[in-house]
Amino acid sequence: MENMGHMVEELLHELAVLPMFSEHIGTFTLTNYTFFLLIALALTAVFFLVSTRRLSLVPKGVGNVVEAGVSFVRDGLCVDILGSENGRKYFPFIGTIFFFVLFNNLIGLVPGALPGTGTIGVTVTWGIIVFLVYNSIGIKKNGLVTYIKSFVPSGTPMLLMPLIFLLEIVSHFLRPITLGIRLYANMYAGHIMLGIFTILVTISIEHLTPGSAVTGVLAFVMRVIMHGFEVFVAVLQAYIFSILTTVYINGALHASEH
Amino acid sequence: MEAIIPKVPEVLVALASFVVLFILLSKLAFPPVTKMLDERAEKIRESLEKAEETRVEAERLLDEYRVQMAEARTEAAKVIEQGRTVAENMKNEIVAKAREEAEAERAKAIEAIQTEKASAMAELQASVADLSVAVAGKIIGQKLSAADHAALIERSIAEVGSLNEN
Amino acid sequence: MEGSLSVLGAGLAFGIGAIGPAIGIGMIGAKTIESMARQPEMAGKLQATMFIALGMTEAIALLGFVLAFVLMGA
Repeated sequence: MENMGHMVEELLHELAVLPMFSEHIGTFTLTNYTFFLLIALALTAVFFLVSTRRLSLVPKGVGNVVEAGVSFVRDGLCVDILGSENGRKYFPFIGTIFFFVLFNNLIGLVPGALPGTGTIGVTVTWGIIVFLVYNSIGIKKNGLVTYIKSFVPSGTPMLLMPLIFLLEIVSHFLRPITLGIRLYANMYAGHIMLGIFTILVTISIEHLTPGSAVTGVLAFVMRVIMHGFEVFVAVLQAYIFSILTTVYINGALHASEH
Repeated sequence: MEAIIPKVPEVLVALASFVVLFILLSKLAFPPVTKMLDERAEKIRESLEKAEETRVEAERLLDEYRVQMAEARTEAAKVIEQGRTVAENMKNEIVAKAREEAEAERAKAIEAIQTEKASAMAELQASVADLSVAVAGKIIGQKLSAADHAALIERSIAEVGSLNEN
Repeated sequence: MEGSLSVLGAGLAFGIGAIGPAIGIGMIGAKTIESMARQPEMAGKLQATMFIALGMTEAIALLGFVLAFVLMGA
């Protein structure tokens, strides 16, 4: 048990935000998470730039995958929620979010790699980008005064107005934070869980007894199943992040209507 | 506490990489894909429309052929009916003519027989008269006067005639 | 000793804070399945709405998660 405590501590240390290299420019360093973030960035860019060069009317090969993904986000998400015109207009933004988050989530499932989204610095930054974008869309569409007025639903009693307004402001400012923390927590917790199962397997092999063999096999099976589950979570979290972004944009677009 | 405070380097990297990727994807990667998707949707829509058009056209042609077929069928039936009538008429005519001819033949035969019979009868009457006179003369041995003779002939003829009538 | 108490507090904060959202997410899932079974043609829209509701409910659990980290450092 003493051993396990050490190993868990080691795991947590591994998953903590650490400088990747000893060299740094001023105070700027590349952390272990942002290192993989950049790898995911390169992979996403290369994948999209290469696969979209040779598209044909009859889809084949990689083009098929790209088209399926793009059509899933554009038609199943943007157009479905925002309508045809706005959906197409804001698809590049939402699509970038979806695919970048997805690639980051998935790269973390490669053994030895970390998800770029497994650190709060990255996810909350993206949450704030979403926050800025949807608010500026709302202001541009409705005008600043109408947009801020729309925080209070029409027909609210005069006395309640400040309270509702305050609540609404708080909920708006919570959005980027929850958006970021949700993604970070899912990725981080998923990796801790996978790590714990790995530790269980390791321990039961190190202190091999008939009893520990059973535990080890069970832990190993669970480890494999959980890895599959994490793939599902990776896709689901990318989906949730982008669907919430879309919903926020939709709310900003139709702010004056309620 | 420390784990949930964003680190500045991470924020910068995340921000920069998002902006870079957004520009790359929205300028270079997404337009061809969305264009292709729209083109394909358009193409499929067109094909479907064309197929629908072709189907309607085919149906129209089929209907036309059906009408033509029905017309041809009635036409054929009419022709056959006409032929039948003509043949029937012809047959009736032939039969009637044959019957007429046969009738005429028969009538002629009957007439001939009648004439033959009449002449035979006349001949018979003459010879019966002569014969009777001769026989009577022989039997009686006396010559009859011309008046008696004639009266006898008359009577005999009458007798033979009544015989003949039976 | 103080450190272990704060860890306990962190665990409790997240554990208890997660009860409500857990029930909520369960209800969202159950109701969504029920609605989908009732109106399968609406399944796509229901699913999108479900994820939105899920996100909002989950946000409450996430506040507990943040609180746990804050307490752990205290």
